[in-house]
Amino acid sequence: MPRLKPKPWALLAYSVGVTIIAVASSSWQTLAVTFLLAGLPGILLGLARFRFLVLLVPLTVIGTFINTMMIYYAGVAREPGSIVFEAGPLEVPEFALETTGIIALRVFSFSGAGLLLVSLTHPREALRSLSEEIGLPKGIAFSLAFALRLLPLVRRDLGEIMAVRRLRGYRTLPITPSDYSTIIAPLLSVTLERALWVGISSELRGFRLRRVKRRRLEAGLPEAVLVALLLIEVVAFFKFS
Amino acid sequence: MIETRIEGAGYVAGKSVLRQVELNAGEGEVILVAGPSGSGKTSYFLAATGVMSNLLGGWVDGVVKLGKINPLEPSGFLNVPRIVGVVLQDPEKQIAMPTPYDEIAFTLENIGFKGALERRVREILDRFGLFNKAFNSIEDLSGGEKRRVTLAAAIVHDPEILLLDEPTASLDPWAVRSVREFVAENKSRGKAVIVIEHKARFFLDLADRVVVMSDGKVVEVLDTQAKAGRSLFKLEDMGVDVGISSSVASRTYHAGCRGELVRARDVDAGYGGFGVVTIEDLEICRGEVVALVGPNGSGKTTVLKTLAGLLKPIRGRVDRRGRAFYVPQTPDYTFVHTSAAKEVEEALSRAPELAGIAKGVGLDVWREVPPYRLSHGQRRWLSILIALSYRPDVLLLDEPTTGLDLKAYKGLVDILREASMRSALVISTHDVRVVKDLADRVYITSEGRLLEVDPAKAVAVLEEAWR
Repeated sequence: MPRLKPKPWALLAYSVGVTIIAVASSSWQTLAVTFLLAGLPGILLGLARFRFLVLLVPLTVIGTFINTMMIYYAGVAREPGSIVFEAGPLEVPEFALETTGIIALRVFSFSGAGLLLVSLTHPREALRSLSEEIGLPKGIAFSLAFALRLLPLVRRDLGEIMAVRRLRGYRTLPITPSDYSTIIAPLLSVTLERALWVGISSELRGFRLRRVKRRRLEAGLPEAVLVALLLIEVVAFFKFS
Repeated sequence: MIETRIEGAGYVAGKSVLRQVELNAGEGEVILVAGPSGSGKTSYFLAATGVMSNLLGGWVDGVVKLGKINPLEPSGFLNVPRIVGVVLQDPEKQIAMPTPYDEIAFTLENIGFKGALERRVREILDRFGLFNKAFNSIEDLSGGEKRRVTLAAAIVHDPEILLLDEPTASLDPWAVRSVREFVAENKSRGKAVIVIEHKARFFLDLADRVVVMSDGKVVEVLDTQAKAGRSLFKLEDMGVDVGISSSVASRTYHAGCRGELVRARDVDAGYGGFGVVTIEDLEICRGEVVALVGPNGSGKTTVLKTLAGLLKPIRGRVDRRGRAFYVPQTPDYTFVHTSAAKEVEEALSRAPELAGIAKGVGLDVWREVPPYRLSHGQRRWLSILIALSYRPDVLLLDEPTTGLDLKAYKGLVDILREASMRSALVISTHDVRVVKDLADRVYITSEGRLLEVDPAKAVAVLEEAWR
């Protein structure tokens, strides 16, 4: 049976490529293409495994929207456009919706591309492919590979944090920055402690001795598909910029 | 094989956490390093392996030799993994790969194993009873199985020396037995083994010497002949859990229900539509302490969460009266504020009567540090203080004694006894002392069912299981 899953190096290269395009472009047409070809499939795949990542959606949309509104009310928006919605003293200008849309498309594009890598790669396979096939330093390759191992643990940690928040009478659907910080602080604390000890354990199990034997880059149909998708995004970038 | 004469060692210049630590182990010897929390046991582990000076930016003065290697030198530290196998306290903070196969292969790949890697990995998986779970996700393994993965990964390259840091933490007595068997087997194969463990009773019979640490120093060394009788009482006085006596006075239990708080009949508790544990009939009353025991992964936490109302039963209904509060095994999950002071302040504003407890455990020193930077014991206390401040009718605690030394354990028992006067307590535990010292009734999770067992019988089973 032909291999369907792209190699980790190809997924990494694809997600880096998408990120560069998404960051460099401010055209909604380009971002819509990167979102459709990388963001959406990545988010759908990623959410199937790591449902907690759904928190990224309100974090991005609400955070960006509040920011644009603050810019508008501070009077520093260069072209606010017409008022789209009005309720008492609240005015939502075109600028706020457009900017929120563009930034959301950008964030969802590169986070989706990252999720493609996370969902389709296995940590040991990633460590070997990234260091042996594309020559990424083994420390960086290991950090990336270990991040893949951490995600299921973060999902479990988050479940426990939410359970206790419910019992303590705190919101489980984060809305304010304070909600986010009080959810993220324990997550980070547990994750950093875990990462420190895994680092120690890996050193004591000879990670520094690990020899990287360079291998020839293997490429097949799945990698060709990724190259084709990236080319479409590059063309869109130049066409709409 | 192991020679350590540490004059001083620390994580930051000028501040020593270890002083005058001399500890040696020869071929086929097991040295047990015991002592209360904060006595310097883990710091010794980090100093002796070279981690403190080579990785953590700390310093070590003195002599350390592991075989012919000096781990304090960078070149020696590089070669430590070739002759040393390590097991850390928490498997989740040790395992770097997603499956048992990958985790074991990771060690061999790192040291450049010359033989047939796949065959060696399969052999070791078979030896540790993990062959059929070689490609299962680590997350789907029980705590005992995760521990076996770390033991297998430590020994796969046949090291001469083994260093085990709190290898029985969070393990059920059956899994403790597999750690004991591992130590005994490696002793008989001529390995030098250092076991760092505050629950010293699990390894007393296997150890050739017991080294007791306190305040960063070695305060007592007992050899094989002295490890009995009065010496054991002396160890217990030093805060070492040797399991020779019931550590606290027994609790008075007034039989008869003082008000039913939880009732579950014909309930299936589980995640995602899959039944894990069937609760046939469970009634919990005010003033009762109910212990849940059973092997790692048998569904105790799932039962706790279902009783707390955090998980919806797959089948049946749980009736609760009053407020339930669940305290997870990892205390960090309980915190919502970024400073310990704010957590204590909020708890005491809700329940000023807890000021005595906060003071007793040192939490009255309102520090502006994040709660996550407190010691493990202090974090545990803080999480329980928070739970009590909600004045729960039912307090559900998941492995509350994990990582607590003898003194802290006794303090916790006192607090929970007092809490049991007002509330019902449901405690999921592997710790036989909790069953002995606190539990009025005991339930065991076994083969997907929750069954009530006689407390005395449960104590006997738990005591027998690890031997």
